[in-house]
Amino acid sequence: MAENDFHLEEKLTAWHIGIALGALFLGTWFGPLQVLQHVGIDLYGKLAPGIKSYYQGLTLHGVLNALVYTTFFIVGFLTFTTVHSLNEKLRHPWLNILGFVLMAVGLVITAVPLLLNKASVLYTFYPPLQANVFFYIGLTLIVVGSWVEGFGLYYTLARWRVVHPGERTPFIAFGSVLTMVMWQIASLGLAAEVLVLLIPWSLGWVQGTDPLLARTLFWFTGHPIVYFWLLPAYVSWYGMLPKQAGGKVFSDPLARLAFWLFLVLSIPVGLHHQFADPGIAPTWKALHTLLTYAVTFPSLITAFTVIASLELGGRARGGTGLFGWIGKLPWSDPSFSAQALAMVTFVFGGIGGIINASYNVDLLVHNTLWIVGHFHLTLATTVVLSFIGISYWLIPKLSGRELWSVRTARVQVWLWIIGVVPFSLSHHLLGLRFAMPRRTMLGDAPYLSAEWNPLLVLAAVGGVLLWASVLLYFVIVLGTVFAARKLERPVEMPVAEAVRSPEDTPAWLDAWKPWLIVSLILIVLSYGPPLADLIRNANLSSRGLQLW
Amino acid sequence: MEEAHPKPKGTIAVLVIFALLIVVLWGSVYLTLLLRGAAQ
Amino acid sequence: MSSFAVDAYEKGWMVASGIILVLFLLAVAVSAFYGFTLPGHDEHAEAVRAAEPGVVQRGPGRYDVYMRAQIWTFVPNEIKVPAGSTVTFHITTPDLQHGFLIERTNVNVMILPGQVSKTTARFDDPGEYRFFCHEYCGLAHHTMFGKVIVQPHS
Repeated sequence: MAENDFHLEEKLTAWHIGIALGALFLGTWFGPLQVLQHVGIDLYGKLAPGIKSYYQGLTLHGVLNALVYTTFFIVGFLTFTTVHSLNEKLRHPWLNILGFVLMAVGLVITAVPLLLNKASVLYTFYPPLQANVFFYIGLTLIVVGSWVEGFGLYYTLARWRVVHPGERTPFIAFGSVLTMVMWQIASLGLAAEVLVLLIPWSLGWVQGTDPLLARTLFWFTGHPIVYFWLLPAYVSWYGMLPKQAGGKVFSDPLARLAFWLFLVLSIPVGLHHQFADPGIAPTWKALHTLLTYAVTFPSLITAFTVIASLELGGRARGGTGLFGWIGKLPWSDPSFSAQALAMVTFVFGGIGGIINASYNVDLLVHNTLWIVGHFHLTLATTVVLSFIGISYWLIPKLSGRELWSVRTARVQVWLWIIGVVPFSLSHHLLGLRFAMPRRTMLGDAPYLSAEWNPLLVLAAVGGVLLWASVLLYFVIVLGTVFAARKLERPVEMPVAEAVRSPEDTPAWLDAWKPWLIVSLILIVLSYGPPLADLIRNANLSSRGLQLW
Repeated sequence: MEEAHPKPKGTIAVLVIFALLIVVLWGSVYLTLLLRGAAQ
Repeated sequence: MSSFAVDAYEKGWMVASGIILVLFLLAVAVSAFYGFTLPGHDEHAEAVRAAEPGVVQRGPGRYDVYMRAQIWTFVPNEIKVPAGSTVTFHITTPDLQHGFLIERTNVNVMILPGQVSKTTARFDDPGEYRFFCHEYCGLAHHTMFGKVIVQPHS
């Protein structure tokens, strides 16, 4: 196969990842600040006058970590994976570059009000809390930029399919492009909320807005965004990790089926974030409960297929017995250990997710610290630690330098787990047992109870250790990019082989139209009626408030 | 051609543990809901 | 249309996990049928909007609480009822989003401008049940709380 020169694509990827890491570095500082504030150690004075309040910090924490780091890393990573998996250069590189420029400009535009304390509305920006208009404009550009880059990838895949008629799309490229397509459809809710409701309102063209309609449009996107975060990790777990472990993909067709099911089921489920909302009929909340249970299914398939793929590797490396193969996996490779530990963490994150999705059971935990514990297992660990694991071969690949250092990286990974376990466990308990609210400057709350102290202290210890792991990660990244030895042999993207050739996978698992149609039908059925109801009864009377 | 590969017994063992965990954890939270009392 | 072979163990896992999920859904459905309902729309929204904040007794052990959630307080923020009472909360807000969560109960509801929230709880055991605002509503969000004081039968 002719070796393509992916210089441009890799540079583009590197820019995305560089910005992503910058955002993660800034955003994670607020983590320990928050968790220390809860136990009475208030360090926010040290950040004054730069950061005006806990809530501004919390907004930055959410926006930088959950929106900026994720979007930039994912778009960069999926660009890399698509072109390499297809061995096809970008069809219209200017399209991807344009998209990146839009994202970068959008980031700068949204950063200004955020840093000036004109957008301390948290990363969900629920109206009628009203941020400066440029906050919304900047976010819009980031999302639109990601769409444009998505199109750049679709055109690239389309050309590959023309050149390779009848061949199965290579799995990594398939999963990558599907993630971008799913995100495209999912982000329409957010786009409608921001473009139709929030921007005209924050510009003063419209006096008031409807908070419930805005929330519903937000969560249309707010649930599938977690799959936008998760699926790139799944691309690695299915398509790369088995190779790193000496195994093979246990079932290529089931791997693809899992991704198709995500395309179909990620979006029509958002009302499970609104179980406690007034104004939405229980019937629709119940339907979304059913659909949310359905979307656990592709993750359950993933659990089996990925573990079985790794088991093949463990046994090939000499493991015997029911569990012996686990020890034989390449735990000394931090790229592997990060992702394997991320998987173990997801067991608990996923169970928590099923609890949250269980209709009335959610009332025990909605908007409590349990939710914070939950998403530090799922987003912060399953996704971010996987991305860190991926970066442990990707950054050497892009920089041409060895990882500095493998030993430090091993420590970094385990330190993450040692931090997130007490952090998450304590938060789950504080939420479930003590009804402690989230998004709250607890250290200053008049209702703070002494009986909460032990768990809050545990949370603080965990949070600080987690942050130490993040700092260590940045030492490793900077060491690799600036100080490490040049690679002797180039690093290749790991590509796992399947047990059976993908050519044996039936064509309906490689055909876009039927799955897209089913996805759109489900969205119309699950969101059409409740949205129509909200739009018909829309009451655009809530005026903007700046309460920070 | 079907490749001979060992049955994923280890995977099933791990998933049995997972299934037990989910039943115990979900069940205990569900019980908490019941114990805190119905609205009526 | 062609199909593909699924490993027998994988098939078994899919069936077993499917059964577990279905059982969970049935448990949820049964509980919802027996009174563990989600908070929702208040069918007497207009009457609630017109009512003054306060506690109204409807009968022995039955109370309606008309409450306003506003920056940064609940009105009323202290409610006294005897043990064994069933209390229905009707909550509105004149300003922005708030939350209402009563510890040691299943009361957990969002309060949104333009909507009327309704939720019910039965307080069997005497004691203090604090309630908190759990949705960010501005700089003093963390000071927004109150309590239900359930008095023992005399």
